[in-house]
Amino acid sequence: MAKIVEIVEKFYDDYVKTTSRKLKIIDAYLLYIMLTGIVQFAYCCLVGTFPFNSFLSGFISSVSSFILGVCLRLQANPQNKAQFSDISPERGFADFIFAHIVLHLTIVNFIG
Amino acid sequence: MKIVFLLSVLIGSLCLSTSITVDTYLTDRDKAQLKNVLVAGLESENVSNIFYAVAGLKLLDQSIPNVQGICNKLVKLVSKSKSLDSVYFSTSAWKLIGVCSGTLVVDESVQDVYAMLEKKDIRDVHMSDLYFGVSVLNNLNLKPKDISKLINIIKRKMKSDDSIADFGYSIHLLSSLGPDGRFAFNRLSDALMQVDQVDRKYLQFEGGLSITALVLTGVYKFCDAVVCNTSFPIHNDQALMFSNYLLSRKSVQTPKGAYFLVYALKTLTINQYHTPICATLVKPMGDLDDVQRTLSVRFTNLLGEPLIAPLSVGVESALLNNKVVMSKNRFKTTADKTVYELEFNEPDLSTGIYSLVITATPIDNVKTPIIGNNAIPLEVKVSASKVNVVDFKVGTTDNDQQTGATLQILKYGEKLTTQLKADHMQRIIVRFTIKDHNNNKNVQVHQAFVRFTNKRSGAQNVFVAELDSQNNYKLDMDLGVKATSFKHASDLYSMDLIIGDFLLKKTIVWQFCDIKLKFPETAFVPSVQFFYKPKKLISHTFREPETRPHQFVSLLFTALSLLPLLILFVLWARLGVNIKNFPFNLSAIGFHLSLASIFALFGMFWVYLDMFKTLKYLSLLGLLTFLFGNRLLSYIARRRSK
Repeated sequence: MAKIVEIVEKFYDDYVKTTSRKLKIIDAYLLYIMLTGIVQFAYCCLVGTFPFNSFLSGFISSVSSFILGVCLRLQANPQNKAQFSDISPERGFADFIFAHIVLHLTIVNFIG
Repeated sequence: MKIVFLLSVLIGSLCLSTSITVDTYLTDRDKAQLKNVLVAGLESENVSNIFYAVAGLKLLDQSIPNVQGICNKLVKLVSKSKSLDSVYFSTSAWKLIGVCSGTLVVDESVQDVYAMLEKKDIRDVHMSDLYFGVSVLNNLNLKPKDISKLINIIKRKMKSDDSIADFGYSIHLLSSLGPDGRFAFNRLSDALMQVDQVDRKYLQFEGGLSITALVLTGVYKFCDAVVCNTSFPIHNDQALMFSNYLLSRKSVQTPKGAYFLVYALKTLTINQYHTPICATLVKPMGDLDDVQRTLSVRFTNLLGEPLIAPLSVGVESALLNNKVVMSKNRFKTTADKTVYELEFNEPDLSTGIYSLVITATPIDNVKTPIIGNNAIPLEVKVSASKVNVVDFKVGTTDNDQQTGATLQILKYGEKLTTQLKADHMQRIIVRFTIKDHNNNKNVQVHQAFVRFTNKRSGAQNVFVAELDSQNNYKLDMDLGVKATSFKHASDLYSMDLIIGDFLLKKTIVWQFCDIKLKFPETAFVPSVQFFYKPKKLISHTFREPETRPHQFVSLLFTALSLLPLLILFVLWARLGVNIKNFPFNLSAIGFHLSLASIFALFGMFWVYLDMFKTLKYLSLLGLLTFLFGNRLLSYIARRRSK
C-alpha cells in the first residue's frame, strides 16, 4: 500500500515538475469537463433520465469536449512534434474552436 | 443378381452425376436475335463494332446490308484514327466485305508496324499491338520482313505471368505464322490451368465471353497450325463445359460479344478434334400423355445443324419415383434428320416425371468423334389427359342433427336442377372421388377446391376439399363458422368444383349447383365502396412528461455541475494563468467578443430562435471570428517564434 502511495507521489511530483504550464492548464480544463460529465451521469443514475434528449446532449457535450480537449493537448504537446510537424499549437487551437462551434450548434439543436 | 442390379443402378446414377452434356443449342430464334444485334452494330460509329458486326454476319452466313455505305464509313474512320487497333479493325472489315471500291489509306500505319517489328527495346510493345500489327500486314497481303525475328520477339514477350488476354493474342498471332510457333505448345496447358470452373458445368476465363472465346479459338487455330494431333490440350469434358458456358451467354447484346460467341461456337462445332452434340426435347419436358405417347428428341450440333452421321439412340435407364420402368428401348429415326422418337409403350403408363438417361452413338465411323453423347439426362413429363370425377354428392344438413345428411347424387358435367338452401345453422357437404382415366384407381391431385361465387356481386370464396384415408375428397363446411368469410352476405351463390394438377392436362372447372345462403343480419354491411374510404386519422402523441424531481434536488445538481467550473478557476489560478500577457489589440478583443457572441447566439437558439435564423447569424459571426482569430493567432505565433 505504502508503495502505491509512493508511486503516486512520485508520479505527481514528476508531473508537477516536468509538465509545461500550458499543458497543465489544458489538464485542468479536462478535469473540469470530466467532473461535469460525472455529475450529469450521477444525476441520470440517481434521479432519472427524463427528458432524455437533454441528458444525452449534456453528456455528449461533456464527452466530446473532453475528446476535443485531448486532441488539443496532443497537438500542443512539444513531445508530439514529430507527428504533428505541420500543425502549430495556434493552428490546433483554431481547429479546437471551430470544432466546438459545430459541436455545440448540434448540441443546442438537440437539447430541446 | 440383386447386387448386380443395384450396382448397375449405382453406376448409372454415378454416370448421370459425372457425365457432362450440353442441353441447349443456338436455335433459329437465337440466331435471329444475334443477327439483330450485329446489324445494329453496323450502324455504330466505332470501327471495332463495325468489324465485329461484319465478321459476325459473315459467320452466320448473312448478307450485309448497305455494303458501300459501310466501306465509305471505314474510309472516313480510318482517316480519323491512326491507332493500330482501329487500323486492324477497318482493314479486317474491308477484307471481309471484299467488294469495297475505293482505297483505305493506311500506308503510314504499315510503316509504323514495320518500325515496331524492328524495335530493339520491346518492353513497351504490347502483345495486342503485335497481333493487330501483323494482322494489318496480313490483311494488306504483306508479310513481316523477318519471320524468325518476329517469333523471337514473341518468345521474349510471352511470359508465364502474362494476362490471359495477352496469351490469347499471342497464340492467335503464332497460329498465323505456321508450324514455327510450336515452341508455345507447352504454354497451352499452363494457360488452360487458369480457367475457372463453375458448378462443374461451365468453364470460362477471367474476363468473360470475349476473352474465353479469344483463347478457345486461339487454341484450336494454333493446334491446326502446328499440328497437335492426338495431344490436343482441350479434353472432351472441357470442350463440353466451354460449350455450356458459351451457350449460356447466347442472349449477349453487344456486337463484340455476338461475334465472339458465334466464332467460338463455330470453332467448337467445326474442327478436327471433336464435335459436341446437344440433345433437346422437341416439346418442353416431352409433353406426353395417354394419347401422345411418342417422345421426340432432337440431336444437333451446337449451331442447331443436323449431325453428319446418323445416330443409334438407346435408353440407358428410365426412372419414375426412383423405380426403373424401362431399359434397353431404342429410339427410331424420323423423316427429320435431327429428330429421333421413342415409343412410351408400357401398358399402364403412369403419370409423373420420368428421369431418362439416353446414349447416342454414331452408326457409321466418323472422322471426328462426337462428344456429349453419353448418359444424356432428360426429364420427361407424362401427364394425364383427363381424370374422372365420380361418386359426386352434394347436400346440406342441420348442425345439431345427428343423423346422416341426405345428399343428392350428380354425374360429372350435369347441374343440379333444384336450388339448394342453407342458413348459418347448417353445414354444406360435398363428397367426390377422382379416378385415373386409364387404370381407374383413386388419385390425389394438387388442387381440389369448391368455389362459391356470389351471383350478384361476383365475390368469390374458395374452400379446400380434404382427402380422407381412402383417397376420397370431402368438403364439410359449417356455414355459421364461415359466415365471416362470406361477409354475412345472404344471396344466391353458384358452386364450382375446381380440380387442377401439374400432371393433368386439362383443368376441371365444373359448376354443379346454385345455392341460396342465408346469414344472420349484422350491423356490418359489406360494400365495395367501403374499401376506398380513408382510414381513421392517427394523431401523434408526444411522450408524457414524467414527474420532475423536487426543486431542491434540481438546484443541488445544478450547483454540483457548476462546481467543477469553480474548481477549474481555482486550478488555473494556482497554475498562474498568464492573463497579463493578454494582447490588448483589436483582433484579440474582436476574437473574444465574437466567440462569446457565438455562444450567446447558441443560447438564444436554445431559447427561441430557429435553425435558419441561427445559421444566418452564425455565418456572419463565424466570418468575424475567423478573421479576428486568424489575425490574433498568427500574431501569437509570430511572437512565439521570436
